[in-house]
Amino acid sequence: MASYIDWFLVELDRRLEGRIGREHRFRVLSEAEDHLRSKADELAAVGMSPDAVERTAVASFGQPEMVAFEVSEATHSAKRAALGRWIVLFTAAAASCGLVALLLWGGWSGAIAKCAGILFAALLPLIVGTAIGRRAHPLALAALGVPFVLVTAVLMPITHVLVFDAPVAKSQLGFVREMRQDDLETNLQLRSALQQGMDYYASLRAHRTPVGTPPQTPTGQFIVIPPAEYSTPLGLADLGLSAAGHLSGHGHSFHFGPSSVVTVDQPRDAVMSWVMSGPGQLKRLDSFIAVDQRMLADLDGPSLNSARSVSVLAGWGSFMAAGFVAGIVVIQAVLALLCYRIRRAEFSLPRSVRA
Amino acid sequence: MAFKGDLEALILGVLNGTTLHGYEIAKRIRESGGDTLAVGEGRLYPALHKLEAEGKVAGKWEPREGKPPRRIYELTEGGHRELEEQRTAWKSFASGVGSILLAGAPEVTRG
Repeated sequence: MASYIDWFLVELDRRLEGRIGREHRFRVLSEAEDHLRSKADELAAVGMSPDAVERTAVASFGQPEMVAFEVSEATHSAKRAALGRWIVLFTAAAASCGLVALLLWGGWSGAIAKCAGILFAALLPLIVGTAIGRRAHPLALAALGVPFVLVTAVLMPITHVLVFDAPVAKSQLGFVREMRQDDLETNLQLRSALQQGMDYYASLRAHRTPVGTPPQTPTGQFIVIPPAEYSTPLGLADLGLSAAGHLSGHGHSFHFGPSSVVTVDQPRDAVMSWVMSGPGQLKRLDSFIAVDQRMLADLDGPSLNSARSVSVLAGWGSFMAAGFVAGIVVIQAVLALLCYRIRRAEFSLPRSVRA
Repeated sequence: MAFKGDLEALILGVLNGTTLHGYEIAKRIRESGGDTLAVGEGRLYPALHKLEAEGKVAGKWEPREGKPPRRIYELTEGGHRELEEQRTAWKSFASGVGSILLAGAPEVTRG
């Protein structure tokens, strides 16, 4: 038959389970048993009946619920004090990271700014979690920060693709899809017209007398692929504007990848277009002459392949982002529930004790 | 006695200059006549663990012949400092209360 002391120890063990660690629980139970048996021995030594000694020892020790509650309170009050210090540290660190991210985001240190931003995203939930659920298990609180890091690390590139890369890729692919065979013919006609213009211009300079009639540029859309020295954004814009201005007059151009698209609304004098802009434009004219080969190469080239990849990624990106966020929400909910349960188990005083 | 942290102060006082296990600490507090542990002697252990976590007492397991080991406690440097602070606070408290309660009381003459 179990004794009163055994009953007390079983009850205390049951109430301590989940509130404190296994090693600490063993220590509490060990000390409680030693205390109760020492008390029982002392009472027996002064003549108390064997039946009464254990009951008296247990009664003087206190109710299992009360002891378990006080053990839990004492165990975690020190942790709470330490957490208070961590709150201050986390807040200072997060504020610093956020400040660094703000200062550097638009500057040359984009990578540092992103790291600072990720750190900020990781520290923020820790601060909030620590402030709100100070009594929760520190590991559970720390785990709350992990999904935020994942969100920041994974969603940032996906967001970049969706917001910045996808529209550009869509324009590129849209243009290629809409490009018909007659557009290719138009480019070939342009090449021919410009070649004739060059010949006409050379003849004009050599003989001072025009030979034949000046060629006219065709109307339509042209792909302009600049030579390597114009592949910088500045050179590309210069060439695009130049091509739009000289070829179309009131036309327009836009750029994608290494190429420009020029729309020509009205036929132009191919010679006058280039003469007016000076002999230096002749070098640029060479690039127009090679336009058809380059254009064809570009249609299957890395630029459009990249655009296709971006487009596919953007298509899946929305689903990926939605799925990822949903997963994070579930994880966060589970972790929050875990924190809540730990907190409740540790700090709720049983009704019998409250009464 | 309504003195904040009285149980912890008593533990520190009992452990001053000696090493004791939990039951002996409780026994000495009980013998001092205070009612701090009247609610339950089990209150002693959470307070001991808290003091240990705060670095004011140090505990270790003491092996015993034919019996399970028993945890014994002693004051640390921090515990000694805390005890001094508690003594100063208690003196101030007792002095303040005494000056009010004993004001105008008739002097007791002996003999």
